[in-house]
Amino acid sequence: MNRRDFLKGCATFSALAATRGFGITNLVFANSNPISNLQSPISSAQSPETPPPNNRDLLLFVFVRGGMDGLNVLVPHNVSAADRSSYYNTLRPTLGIPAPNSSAARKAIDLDGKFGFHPDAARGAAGVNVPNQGAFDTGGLYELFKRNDLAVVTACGSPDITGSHFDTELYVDQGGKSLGSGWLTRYMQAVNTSSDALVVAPQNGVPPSLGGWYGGMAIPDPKNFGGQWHPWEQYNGANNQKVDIVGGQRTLLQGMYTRGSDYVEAQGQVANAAYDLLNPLFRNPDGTPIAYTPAAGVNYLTSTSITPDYAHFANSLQTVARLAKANIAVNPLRVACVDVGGGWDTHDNEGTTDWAGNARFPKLVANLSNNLKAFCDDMNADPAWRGHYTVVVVSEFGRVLYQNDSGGCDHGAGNILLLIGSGGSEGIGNVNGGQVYGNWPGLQKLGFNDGLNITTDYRTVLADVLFNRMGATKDQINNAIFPGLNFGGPLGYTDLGLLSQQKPNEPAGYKAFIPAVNR
Amino acid sequence: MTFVRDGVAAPEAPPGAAPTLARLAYNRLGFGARPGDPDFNDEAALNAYIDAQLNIEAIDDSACDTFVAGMSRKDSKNGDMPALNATTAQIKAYEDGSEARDIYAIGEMSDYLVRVTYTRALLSKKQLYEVMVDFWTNHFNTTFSESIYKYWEDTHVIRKYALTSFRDILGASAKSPAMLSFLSNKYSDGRNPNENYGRELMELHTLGSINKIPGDPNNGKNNYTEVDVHRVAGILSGWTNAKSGDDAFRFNDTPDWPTHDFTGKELSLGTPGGHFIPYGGIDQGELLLDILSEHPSTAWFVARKLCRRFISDDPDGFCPNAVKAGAEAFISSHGDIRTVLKAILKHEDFRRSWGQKVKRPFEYYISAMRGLNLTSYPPPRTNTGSDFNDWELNDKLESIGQKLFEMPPPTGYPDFRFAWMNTSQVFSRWTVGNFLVRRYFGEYKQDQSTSWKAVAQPNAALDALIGGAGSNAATVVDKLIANFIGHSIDAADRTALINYIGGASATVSSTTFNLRPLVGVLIASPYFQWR
Repeated sequence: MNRRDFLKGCATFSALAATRGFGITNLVFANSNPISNLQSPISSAQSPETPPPNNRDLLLFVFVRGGMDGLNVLVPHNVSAADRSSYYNTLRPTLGIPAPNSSAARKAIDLDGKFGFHPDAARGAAGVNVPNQGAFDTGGLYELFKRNDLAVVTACGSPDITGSHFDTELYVDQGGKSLGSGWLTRYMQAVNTSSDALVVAPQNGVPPSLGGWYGGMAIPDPKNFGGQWHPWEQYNGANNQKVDIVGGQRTLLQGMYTRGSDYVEAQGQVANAAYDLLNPLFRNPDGTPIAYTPAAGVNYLTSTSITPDYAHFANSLQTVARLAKANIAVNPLRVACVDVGGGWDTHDNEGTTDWAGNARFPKLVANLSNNLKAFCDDMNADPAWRGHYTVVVVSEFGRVLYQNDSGGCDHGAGNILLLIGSGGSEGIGNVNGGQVYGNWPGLQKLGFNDGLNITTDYRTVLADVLFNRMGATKDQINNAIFPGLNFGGPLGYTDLGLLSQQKPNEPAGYKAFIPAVNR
Repeated sequence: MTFVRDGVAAPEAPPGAAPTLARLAYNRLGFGARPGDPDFNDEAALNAYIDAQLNIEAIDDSACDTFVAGMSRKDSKNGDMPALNATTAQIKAYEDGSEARDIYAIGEMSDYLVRVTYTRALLSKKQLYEVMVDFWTNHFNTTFSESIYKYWEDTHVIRKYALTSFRDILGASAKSPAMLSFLSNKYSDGRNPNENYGRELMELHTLGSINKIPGDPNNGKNNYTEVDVHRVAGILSGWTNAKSGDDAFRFNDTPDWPTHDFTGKELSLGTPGGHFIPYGGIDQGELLLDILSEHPSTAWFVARKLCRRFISDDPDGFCPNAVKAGAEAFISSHGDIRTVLKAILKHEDFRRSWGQKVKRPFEYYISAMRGLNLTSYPPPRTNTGSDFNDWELNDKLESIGQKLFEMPPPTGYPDFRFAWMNTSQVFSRWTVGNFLVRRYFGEYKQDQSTSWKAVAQPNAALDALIGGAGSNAATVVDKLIANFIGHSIDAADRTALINYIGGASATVSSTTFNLRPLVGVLIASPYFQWR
């Protein structure tokens, strides 16, 4: 047994905290003035005060749990000379990513003359030198950025950051402090009044961002969806007679779960309804599993020897893609949540660009970057989805500006946030990608925990997505979803009114889900 | 039917009649009924049961003790792990030697303690004691991941003081190496104290953050200030196990890190006039723990939490009188845990509380094992002929989300339905029920002589569970309903179950094809989810 085997059993609540922090609680983060304004995040694009109905994307919320070292994903190689030479290179003497113009073989890939991506976020792009290349390398995040589909927001974070993974993750999951339910729960309750949306988390438990809500389905493994007698039951081949034991059990249980209206029975009814809806996507009538085939040419990075999370992220994204593309007529997939683990809490052996030894970070970046790119390619292969899905990638906090004595760095503050759409190169994009947003605070002034100062409340970006892409009004955002946020308007994404007619899979009168269950 | 529902709905009673008080007691004051446990339904018998369960010194639990003593303490490299009552020095020595042996000591010892804890919950006659062990384990939550001395703490803090006085268990927890690590007090230096433990001591272990005493002049106000938090941290600085050699608790009154801040300190603690902790060493912290233990907010906080465990997810709404009775008993008995439990469990609110609690995963699978009349965990390998290993069983149990001793936040695992029951859990519990049945009662076999037809194998334990091979189908269903549910179920459900194993006139045995899945259905049924 190793530590990883031990921890993988923590199932539902592992989502609560990848690891505990030092437990510093309730320290109030003081906002600091930005040292320099790199770029205003506010664009001139106007958004309607009340977005049109049914103008909603699929929202994929990716939570990188453990505290991603954003400074080594988006490297500030040329924002200012002081940042580069006096701080980044000095504070991270052996942990920095070499600048694009350095002589190092493996180095940052420039984006805009100021910031560059870690080379493993650009695997497969022309001229990028990375180890272990394969067909799964198609340019990663760098390619998405170049296509104008990826926007990066710098120096994002929670306004109530602490040094604790748990506290800060909970704040991000709940979208505020001590709110008791997840922000996506409140979004679903506030906006999707017609019960019209399916929500999934393709992992063992439903994450706290969907906490306190009935409808979130956790689907860790489509092959074994629903109750099981034993896991290989559906695979019996050759001479083995197929025994459909769970089918008979299901009939009995479906009856039993209709006898009352209490909480337990309601959960069972929703589960059975979801089963009726989804099982035909996952299994043939004879019970054999239906394998998912990504679009032609799309390569998720699923090698368990390369991915530090046993391909969990790749498999989860494929579940999301297959559900999205399944064209569930009455009830399109609306929200999906994926937690990404694998060891982002890089207190030691972080590594830079070399995959040798115990270095963790390059593989973590490759896993994240390659699979997000594959997911987008997979979705974009269906023209109906172009411009109609939005991916948000957050992590609870960034890491300390300077490296520690163990070859890693400890819990910091501000971090990058990734916002990914599609259709940018076709002029129908839903995200104004290809740019780095946010007020860059500089590295000269340390923020909370000696991390990067936080200049953008991550919730304003989420609110922007909800407002512009997900049909939420400002009142719903400010009163129900992020109480007290005072979200005032878009940060700079395209006005969606133009795209509403192109929404796929929404027949006239489209409204509600779901298989008839008498209550 | 919709997917979008209000997040928090008022609890509604489950269908069917309420079970007897005996069944309520077995579910709430223990880990479920075993077949053959005596039935009763009057208040006097319930109170006698509560008294007997609290008189643990008089309970003969030798069968369980003997079984636990006989469980293998070998680790995965066939080395001997420290005994359950090991000292910190013995545990430290084992961990120090583990790297050279290429094992993960925390994982090995956690696995063993989980097996032991399951086994005790399954077999012990001291059921209420085991429930209180679980209660305090979560109240004073620590994790193996954070400290290998969770193993020490289980024996020397939680089990030792589970039914003594609150002050005893609070004091032992404050000095527990696992707690010192988990909430960082180990590193708290008087010159710049770490506030982590001091805060959680007040917020989670004793007072609660807000005064919730009905009618109290300070009701709704904070029980402590940020200044209190800082000063409490100073009072407890130097309470450490750093540099103690054997990792056991020591009070550091030297100027060396992590030192103690001897100065006298004023505290408000939501009390008129406040408290003054005079200049001193370890006695400062002891006095603080005295004050916190005697504080009325602590009495109400602990009583409310016990009511949530034993009576209702919503103690303030459903059973405010039981909370009050428990708090008053706490105050008058100076935190005698048995006295508080008697006040709460003998309160009428307990007796009318069916439908107020849903099983958490731990209670769910132990109660399933008890309903199956199992006598060991994991099952002896020779009895099964099953196709999967013990670790798969562990994996399945943990997949429903309550890995013991591994709740990362200091709150411990929550005890209300919204935290646990969701649509995925419905499927997971179904699968876990099936796995238990397969693992203990044997797998189908392919019969080559009949075109590879799957055949259910004879199994004596399963035959015994249904009242003997050849029993009538209706009788079998009623017996299993009595075992697992303990009250009548919807007539249509009963009929469907009988028809599933051949109809009312069929005779049933362990070789009846659908018998094993029928047992799995009962465990997965909504009826079985209620505590």
